[in-house]
Amino acid sequence: MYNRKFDTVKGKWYKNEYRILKLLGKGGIGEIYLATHEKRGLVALKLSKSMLSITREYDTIKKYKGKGFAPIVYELDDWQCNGETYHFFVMEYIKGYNLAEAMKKHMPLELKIRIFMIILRIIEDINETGLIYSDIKHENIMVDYNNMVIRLVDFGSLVPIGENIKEYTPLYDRCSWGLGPRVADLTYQVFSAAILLMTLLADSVSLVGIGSISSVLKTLEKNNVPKSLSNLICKALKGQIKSCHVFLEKLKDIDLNEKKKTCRLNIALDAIIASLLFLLVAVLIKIRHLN
Amino acid sequence: MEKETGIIKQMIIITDGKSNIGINPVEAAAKAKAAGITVSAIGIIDNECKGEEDIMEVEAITKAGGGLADYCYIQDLGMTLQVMTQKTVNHTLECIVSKQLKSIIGKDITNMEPQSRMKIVEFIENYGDRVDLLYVILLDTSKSMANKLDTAKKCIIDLMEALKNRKGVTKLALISYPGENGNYINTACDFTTDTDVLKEGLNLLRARGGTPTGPAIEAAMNLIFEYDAPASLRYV
Ligand SMILES: Nc1ncnc2c1ncn2[C@@H]1O[C@H](COP(=O)(O)OP(=O)(O)O)[C@@H](O)[C@H]1O
Repeated sequence: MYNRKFDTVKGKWYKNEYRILKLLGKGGIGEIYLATHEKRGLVALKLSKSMLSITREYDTIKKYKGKGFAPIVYELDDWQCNGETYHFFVMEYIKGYNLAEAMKKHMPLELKIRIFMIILRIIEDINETGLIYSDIKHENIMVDYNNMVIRLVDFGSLVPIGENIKEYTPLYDRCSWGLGPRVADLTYQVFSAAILLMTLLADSVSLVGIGSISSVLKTLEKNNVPKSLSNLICKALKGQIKSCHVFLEKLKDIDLNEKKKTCRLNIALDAIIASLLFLLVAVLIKIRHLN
Repeated sequence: MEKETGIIKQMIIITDGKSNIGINPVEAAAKAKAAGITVSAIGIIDNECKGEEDIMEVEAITKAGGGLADYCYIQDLGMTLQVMTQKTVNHTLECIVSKQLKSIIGKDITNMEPQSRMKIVEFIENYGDRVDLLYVILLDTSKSMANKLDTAKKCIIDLMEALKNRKGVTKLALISYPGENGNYINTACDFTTDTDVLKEGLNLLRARGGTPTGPAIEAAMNLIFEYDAPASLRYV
């Protein structure tokens, strides 16, 4: 939005100086920069002209202080530059990849499900505080492979249960699919989580488009997703799973090796048939010999 | 602020090009602002990258109109329109609250310490959902919009549906420009809460002709004045 070049952001109230190193990302609200501070070291700085959004997001992140999934926030301040007032908050810089980048490497099914279950548990935690995380997409989820830790970075979309959704990405939005209203409730949350799971399973965000339940089933089938898992996803999309808590419980019950088992069974059958044939041949030869 | 009455009046321009007919849209937007109407705009970007001038104009109009500016591809218009609608309401309230604070305690929000602004942010967000809204959409139907018009129509219908979830009453009107038979503008739909009425108005729209953005802003102002005549002096 703002095409300015600058190298230092200086807080109007608390006088801290941040040297901007590079742009980390851009979003609907503003821009995120990697910056350094002489005491705090590397930090992420979110800068915007919208006082409302910045103040709101800062306050929301602070609510989750002590929860491992949210970044630590340091301060909220204003910055005056060329007669304009900007607002910013400073938070911990989270190293690692976001989920979109992480997905570029192939992940086995078990790992995908494990990561997804961690994400679900985090969303469940957030839902328990009475809020819905409406914009739960790949770019907002940071993955630390080594520690199997998941962190969320964008808290601008959280709204109290019962209110209208403020921010969304159409793919994850129940209303864009024509499957329910754009209102923050627990089944809206389950819907967006189910879409996230689907993109994980399909190994791509771009391969999953807004469609119908039957198009979802087709996508899942193409990716060899076990039947019980795709059934669960469909239920989640249809609003038949009441909360992320229930979603998580149902996921735990799913046997990911279902496919493999049938494979194993097939191999066993094949082996039995083969040995029977061998026996038959052997017997035939014997009979011939006897003659 | 103590009595929660009043109406927010706003217009949002959806356009893919620079105005080229009639009065200067920046002047028209300044007039609207002076009358307590916020003017925002969404610029639709094409792949065949539009010139700086179009963007400059959107910026200048919204600056004069006290509103917000945003840009998107046509496929993202739906979401941009909805986010923009809510942001503009809150932005307008922020300006009003800030003015009131200034008259009461002698400083506006940006002169309060950041940490102490949260209460005000909460107030604005809450009130923003409950306040009544008179809302005009100005849809550019010039020739260049031809291949985008169907998507834009759908987005406006979706917006109407979404606005029904607000706690306050929202009345939406639609002006398209240019109009027919050499008219600068066409009132496709006067203020309504009925999606079917809006659909009827949208159905008739065709893309053709130039881009009289300035006259369209004036027409939207008049539409609001006519609707709101006795209360036109009453700001929130
Ligand atoms: N604290 C952080 N540490 C590291 N990277 C971050 C951090 N916050 C945001 N980012 C990066 O910036 C991108 C955009 O941030 P986000 O908060 O989603 O912006 P917006 O709310 O404007 O959409 C993210 O996808 C992420 O890659």
